This record gives sequence, structure tokens and C-alpha cells, in this order.
Amino acid sequence: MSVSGHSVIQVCRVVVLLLVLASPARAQDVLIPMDASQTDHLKSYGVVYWALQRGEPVDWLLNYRGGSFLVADFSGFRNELAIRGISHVQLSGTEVAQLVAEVESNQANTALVRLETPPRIAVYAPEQTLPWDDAVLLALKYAEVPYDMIYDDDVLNGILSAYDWLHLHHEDFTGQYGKFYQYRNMPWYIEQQREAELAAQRHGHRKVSQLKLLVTQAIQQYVSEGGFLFAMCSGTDTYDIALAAFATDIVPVEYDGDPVDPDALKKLDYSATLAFEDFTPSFNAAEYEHSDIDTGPPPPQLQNPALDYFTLFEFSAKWDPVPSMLTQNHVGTIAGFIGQTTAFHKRFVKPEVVILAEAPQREEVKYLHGSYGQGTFTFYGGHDPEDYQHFVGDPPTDLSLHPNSPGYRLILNNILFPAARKKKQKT
Amino acid sequence: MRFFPIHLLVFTFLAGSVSAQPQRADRTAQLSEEESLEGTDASRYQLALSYIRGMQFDQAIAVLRELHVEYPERPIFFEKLKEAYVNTKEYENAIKLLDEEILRRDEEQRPVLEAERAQLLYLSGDEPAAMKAWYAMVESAFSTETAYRIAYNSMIQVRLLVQAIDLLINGRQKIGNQHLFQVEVAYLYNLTGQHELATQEYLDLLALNDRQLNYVKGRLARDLQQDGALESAIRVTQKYISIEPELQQFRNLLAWLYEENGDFELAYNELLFLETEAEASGHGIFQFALRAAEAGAYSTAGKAFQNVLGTYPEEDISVEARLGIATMYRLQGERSAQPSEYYQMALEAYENFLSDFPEHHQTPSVMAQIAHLYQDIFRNRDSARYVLSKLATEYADSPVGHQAQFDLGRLAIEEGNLDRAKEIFSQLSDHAEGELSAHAKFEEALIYFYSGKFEITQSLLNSSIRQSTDKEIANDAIALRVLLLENPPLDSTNQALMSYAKARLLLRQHKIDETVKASQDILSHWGQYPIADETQFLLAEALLINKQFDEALVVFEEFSRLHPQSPLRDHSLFYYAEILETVRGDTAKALQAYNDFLIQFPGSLLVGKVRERIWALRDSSM
Repeated sequence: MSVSGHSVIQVCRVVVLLLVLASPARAQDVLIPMDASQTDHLKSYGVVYWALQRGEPVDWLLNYRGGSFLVADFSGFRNELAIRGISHVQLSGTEVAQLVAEVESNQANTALVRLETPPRIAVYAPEQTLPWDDAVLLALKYAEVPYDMIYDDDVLNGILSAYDWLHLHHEDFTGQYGKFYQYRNMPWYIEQQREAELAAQRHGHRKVSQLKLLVTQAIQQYVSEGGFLFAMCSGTDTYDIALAAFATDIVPVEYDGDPVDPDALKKLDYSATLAFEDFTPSFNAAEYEHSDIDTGPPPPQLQNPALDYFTLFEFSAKWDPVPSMLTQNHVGTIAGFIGQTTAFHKRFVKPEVVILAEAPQREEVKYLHGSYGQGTFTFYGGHDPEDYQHFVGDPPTDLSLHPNSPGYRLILNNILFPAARKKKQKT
Repeated sequence: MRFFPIHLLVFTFLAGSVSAQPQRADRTAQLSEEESLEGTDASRYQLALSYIRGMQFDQAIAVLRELHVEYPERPIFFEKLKEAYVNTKEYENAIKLLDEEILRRDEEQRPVLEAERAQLLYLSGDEPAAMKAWYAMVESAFSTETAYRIAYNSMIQVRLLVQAIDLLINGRQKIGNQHLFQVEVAYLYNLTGQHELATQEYLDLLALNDRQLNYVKGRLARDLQQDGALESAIRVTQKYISIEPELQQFRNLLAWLYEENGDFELAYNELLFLETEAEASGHGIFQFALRAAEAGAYSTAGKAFQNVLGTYPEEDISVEARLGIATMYRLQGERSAQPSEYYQMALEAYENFLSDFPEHHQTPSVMAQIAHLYQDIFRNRDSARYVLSKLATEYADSPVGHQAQFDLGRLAIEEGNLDRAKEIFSQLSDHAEGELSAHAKFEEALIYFYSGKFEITQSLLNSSIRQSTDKEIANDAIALRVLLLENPPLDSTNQALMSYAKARLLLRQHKIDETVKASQDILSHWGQYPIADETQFLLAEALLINKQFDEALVVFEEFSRLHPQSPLRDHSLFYYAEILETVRGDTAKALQAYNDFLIQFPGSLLVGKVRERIWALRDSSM
């Protein structure tokens, strides 16, 4: 499970240790523990982002007490921690030195990563209000992390270069409007379809699938040039399906007015995708499924929030810092949750992709990560980590009731990951 | 026409779906034709179908083409071959096939095939030729209404919505009837986000037939959920009324739209106009008044109630209106910062109602409202007792009677007649049902507490906690039990706790000055006793009720210093900050106090509220 191919962050332990210890005498440091003692894990990410915005570096202690944060105390910081309800511990200079030495010791699977710059975050989502929630928007709002909303026009006008981090959630990049055909007479569906058709026309296309392909390719270009992409739910598989189908028509007549290309399967090109290969798209307009990548809900006997779970892989914090960062958590086993895309069949995951979490004994990947060009992508199956089965029209989850959500922590790990200091690759 | 019956078109539209399925010949006819196939023809046809199922379209086409050449008059081979061409996107071949078929068919069967041909031209990428073909089809079919509908249906299958609007409007002109296709055009305008034009179509439909009002409301109710649709609909309807003010259906629709927009005054004006114009019963205005009162549009609701009273003084509806007015005043009182005037008006309205309609079926609930106002709002115990006694006697074995008994018990406590109160609550806890019984038991426990009989209090509290499903009662009972546990007798007389209990009774009896004095006495005599922090809180509570905010602020400010071990310190600091914020208006100092709170009491139950206040103050200072 090596990530030696990644061009991004590698921890240069000696340098970081020296940096920490050689910093001008830190009057006091503040440790934000991220183990079970933390009162609000989700807001902790927000306060780290807040510190980075103020030019204060933060040390992320991978695998140490659930992936804790160490910050040199500065004016107003502890007050902000108190306001946000984040538990913390004040450490003396000696205690910090001991802690850093412990984290950097060769005996422990822990490491220190310095975070320096707050990533500029874009969330790809339509302005229109849709009758389902978006887990990343909920997480960002709750953690008080700033972001911009962008959509098709912005992407095609080249705005992505202004951001470090791009999130996709419940999106359908195949141009089938989420395959919500049964809702086609609902006002939100009509509005969504109209807006998509108008956007396609603005960019000179008759079909929405053609517009979405361009958007998909622009995002791929962004990743290849060093962007970080995080996608959830149907934003994962539909993204790769659209890329694979660039030379054909996989959209049923109900959605675009003409039938699927009879040779569509032969024309799929899996070399164009990021994470998946050898999958088969669904050509049935009435089927609420885009392809066989998605495992669908678990078997009936496991469709129970108390029984359905997935486990995180443990990586070497010193040698595999990227997957380590993405899997920091205070638990190793996380409650499952269903979405239009719930999890990914392992047989369709490309071999070079790193599996971060999977459902035990089910050959189902829940969370994965990979590199493309200079950038990386992370896919997370399921819709809302704290709403086992989110239905259209359900109210959004109130995260103040889930401040320690392990499932939501995985989303927020992705926000801080691009903030890590970029270092030259180990030789 | 038999290939695409008009009723099928209408059904397709009414189902509300823009079907994207290709046009197909009648399925039933196709099935029966399939059954009529015999011998090798049937086998060859089945072979073609199996090729199609296996996605082997080339082989299927070869077989079907042969069959079609041999039996050109059989629609089944033509339809299947055409379908195979379309599925393989061989649009040119499909169009050629259609061209041959059109020549073969009777004139009346051609429009559907020609529309389909136009659709295929569009799918092949030649939109100008497609448009030309649709218009040509309509023309060759003598520009009938049906021909336009066939073309329209074909166009919307490929989402040519704007073009379909143009076609239908063109059809109106050609046919010379501006009222044609209103439902279809309105639907298309809605799909394309042109809400004003959609409303115009619906209004034109209404102008012709006022019985379409509910249908139009039903259509609009869904459309109005789209951004800007409601405003557009109001604007257009207003314009139509200015042109044709006599059409009641327009005003009815506008009143509904105003109400949807929360503009009750404008809605009322329209309804009023309709009431004067039509044979009305007042029920419409009355129901509207109830909705307006509930939505907080009191002025409009009041006018509407008065209108019912004035217009239908002899009808039953005016009796309901009088009750509606009383309820409205009570709602205003409950929601107002200066409630006394509204409560007074509610009381008068309820009393007048009772005097005029003593046998009305709502009499018990009206009496209960009157008793509540006397007892809890105006503190007029004699009047409250009179009404409650009457209720308790006349409705002795009903829930209303039990509630009246309970309120008589409360009244007895307030008047200091604890024995009478104990008797009432004891009976109620035995005879009443459910939550009222548990509540009565808690009140009984409180009476023993006020009397200084703490052991019996404990026992009754335990029973009340076990019995109660009401969170508030259970919490109050638990709090009192904790207070007793934390304040064990420190001397044989247990004077400190007994004095505190008496002070609590004084506050319950609204003897505020006496509560202040009693609290201060306790603090001066037993300031070092554990009950001192509770007493200081009681003192602050009495000062707040008396609007002595400066004194209350001092009490809260000193609380932590005087009682460094008290579990009430977080509450004290919170109230201190709240007075600074809401009474003094000193947001900077309040913000500082809230921040201090989070540092000092990070685990307090009030943390959520404190954070809310901090965010609110931060936002307001931005």
C-alpha cells in the first residue's frame, strides 16, 4: 500500500523536528486531542483552518491520540477554542519537546506533518436548492470553514486554477439528472433540467451529457495540474463513467431524446478514468443506478445502522503520510451509510488506487485515494455519514447533534490534507 | 387519426410527463399482429427479436429488412425495422423507410409518420430540416388542431420546448382561435421558466370557464415553488383584473396568490370584493380570518371577523366569529411584548360570548380560558375561583372539570390555604388520569416542602418522577429532590432550609417584596449554609420580576465570589451576561462575559446557548 508515486507530501522528519524545536521559545503550546476525549472533533478542523488563516502553522500529529493538532498559543486562540467548544490541553516547552520526540520516534507509528497554508476550497454544486443535503457543505458549514460555490459555467471558464481543493457530492456527470426519472414532474427536477439544458446551450451543446463531459474533463485537467479532488456519493462513479464514455452515448432516450449507442460498451475507454475500470454502465432509465461500480445497499440482514460498518486501514504514518492523513480518526470502525452510490465493488478499482476503508468480508471499498498527474483524488461512498439512508425531501442532518462523527471526520481530513507543507519526494 | 388518438395525447399531457419515448404504433395492434404471424415468417420475426435482445442489431436489421420487403403492407415489420434503425442511430435509413411508408399510407395516417420523420431529422443533427418538416406536416394535414398536437407531442419528446411554443401559437393564428392549446402552452412556459406567460395562459383559460379555478390553482401550486413564479403570477393576475375587473375567478385566484405570498391585507380586499359581488355565506371570510390570525396578520383578521359580524349578524357564523375574535386577542397577548391590553380584550370577548351564548358547545373551553386569564394574567383570584368552581362542579367527572380542580389547588397555594390545596391535589392524584395525576402529586410534594416536611416531600417526589412522562415536571421534581439531598439538616430545627422553603412559597404567591426580604434574612442569618447559593438565586429571581435589574446584576456578579463551590455559578454568569446584553445593551461587556463563561464552564449545559449569543453578538457587530 505504498504511495511512493505521489508527488505531494512526504514527511521529512528530521527537518520538521528541527523546525519545531528550533522555533523561538514557544511560551506555551496547545494540544487539541482528537481521541475520544475531544468534545467536538468536527469544529477542531475548523479552528485549525482558522489558525492557518491567521498565518499560524499547525502540526498534525498523525496517529497520535486520533490525529491530534499542536498549535503554538497565540492571542485569541484559546478563546476561540472555548467559543467553538473544542477541548484542549496547554503544554509547556518541555512537554512539547517530549511529545514531538515521542511522535517522531522510530518505535511508534506516528509522525508530525506541518500544516502551513489554508487551502482555497471550492464546492461544485448548483445554486438551485435541491431536496437533499450535501454532507461536505454540512461539514464545512458546521466546522466554519470558508468555501466558494462553483458550477458548470465557472469550471468551463477556468476558475478551478484559483482553488486547491474541489469537492463534488451528489452530482451526475453522465447527464442523466441523477436518474431521478420518477421525480421528473417535480418543480426542482424541472428547474434542474432547464438550468442544465440552458447551460449546455450556452456552451454550444445540444445535450447535457456533452456539457458534463467537458466539465468532467476540465476537472481532470485540474487534478493533473496538481489539484485535490474529493468526491462523495454519485459524484464518484458518475465522474469516472462520464470519462470512460467520452467517445460514445450511454444516456437512455428518456434523458436525452435519443437511444444509447448500440456499440457503447465497446467504445468505453477505461484508460481515461481515475479510479475504476471494466465496469458496465446501466442503460435502464428507470433503474436508480448508473453502473455496476456501486455495491448498492448491504444485504437485507445487514441493513441496520447497528450492524453495517466499515473499517479504516492503518498506514505507516512516516512512510505513507497521505493515506495516513486521510484516515485519521478516533475509531477504527465506522458506521456504514447508504447513498445512490454506497460503496465500490473492489473488482472495478484500478490496482494503483489506494484503498483507505472497506466493508469487512464484502469486497466493498468505501473510501479510496489515488494520484493523477500532479494531483490526487479521494472518493468516499455513501450520502450522509450520520443519516443511514437519506431520502429525497428529508431534512438536512443537524451536525451539532453529531460533533464527534467519525464518518464526517473523513471528509474534513481531506480539507486539511492540501494544507500540508509540500516537500520534495524522498529519494 | 386512429394511429394517435386525441385522447391519448390529452392523457399524456395530463399525466404531466414529457415522455421521451419514440412514437409507437398501438401496442395492442402490434401484439395481435404478432400473434397472427405463422410459419417461417413467425420464426424469422422471432429470430430478429432475439437478435435485438442480444444487441445484435445488424443481424436483426438484415432479417427485418427482408421481411419488410416481402410484406410491405404489414405494419409490424415496418415498425420493428424502424425501431432497429433508430436504436442503431441509423437515422438516414429510418427516414428513408418512413418516406416509403408515408407514400404507402392513406392521407389520414400520414401526419404521425411525418412528425416522426421530422423528429428523426432533428436527431440526425439537421434541426432546420426538422422544423421545416414539422411545419410542412401540419400544413399538409390542413392545419387542424390535431395536426398541431401531433407535431407538439413529437417536438417535446426531443425537448424542443421553445419551438413547440412557437408552433402552437402559430397554430392559434392559423386556425383563428386564440384559446386553443392553453393548457399545453402554459405547461411549456412553465417548463421554460416563463412564469408570467404561463400565468397568462391559465388566466385566459379561467376567463373562458370559471369552473377551471381549482384546476388552475392545482397547476399553479406546483409551479409556484419555482424561483420568481409567485411574484410573476401576482403581477399578471393584477394586470388582468385591471382589464377585466368584473371576472370573479381572477379575483379569487389573486386572493389565493396573495395569501400564498403572506400578504393577507391584499388578499382580504379581494375576498371582500367577492363577498359583496356574490351570494356569499361569510364562511370564506371567516376561514380566511382564522388563517390570518394564526399567521399573525391581526389587523386583517380583525377586519375580516368584524365583516362577518356585520354582514351576517343572525347567522351561526357570527357566533363563531365572536369566538374567533377572542382567540385572536389571546394569541396577540401571548405573542406581544405589551400583552395586557390584548389579554383584557380577550377576557371581555370571552365573557361577552359566555353571557350571550351560555349553552354553546364551546362553553366549557371558553370558561377555562376566562379562568386562566383571571388566575395567571390578571391575578384576580376571586373571579378565577368563581369560574373554576363553576367548571369543577358542572363538569365534575370530565377532563375539563379535573383541570379546573387542579387550578383551584394552585389558587389555594397562592392564597396560602395549603391544607385546602393539599386536599385537592391528593384527590386529583387518585382520581385524575395520566399526566394531570402526576402533576398533582408533584404539587402535593411542593406543599409538603413549603410546610417544611421534607421527608414526605422526598417520598412524593419519587412517586411523581416515576409516574410522570412530562419532561418538565420530571425535571422540576428531580431538581427539588437534588436540593433536598444537598441540604441535609445541619441543626435540629433545620431553620435555614425551612426559611428557604417559605421564601419559595412567597415567590409562588407573587409576594415579591416579601420574597426579597425573606431571602436577605436567610443570607444574613445562614450565609455560610449550603442553601445560601439557592437563596441568592431566589433573591435575584425576585429582583428580576420586580424589574430591579441593577440590583439583580450585582447579585449575579458577586455570586461566584460568594459561592465558589456552587453548581449554580454557570447559571449566575449566564444571567449576568444576559442582563448586560438585553437590559443594559452593553454588548462588549456581555460578549466578554459570555467568553469568560466558555473558559470557566466548558462543560455546562448552557454552553450551546452561550455560543448562540456569541455568534449573534458577533454578527450584529459586523
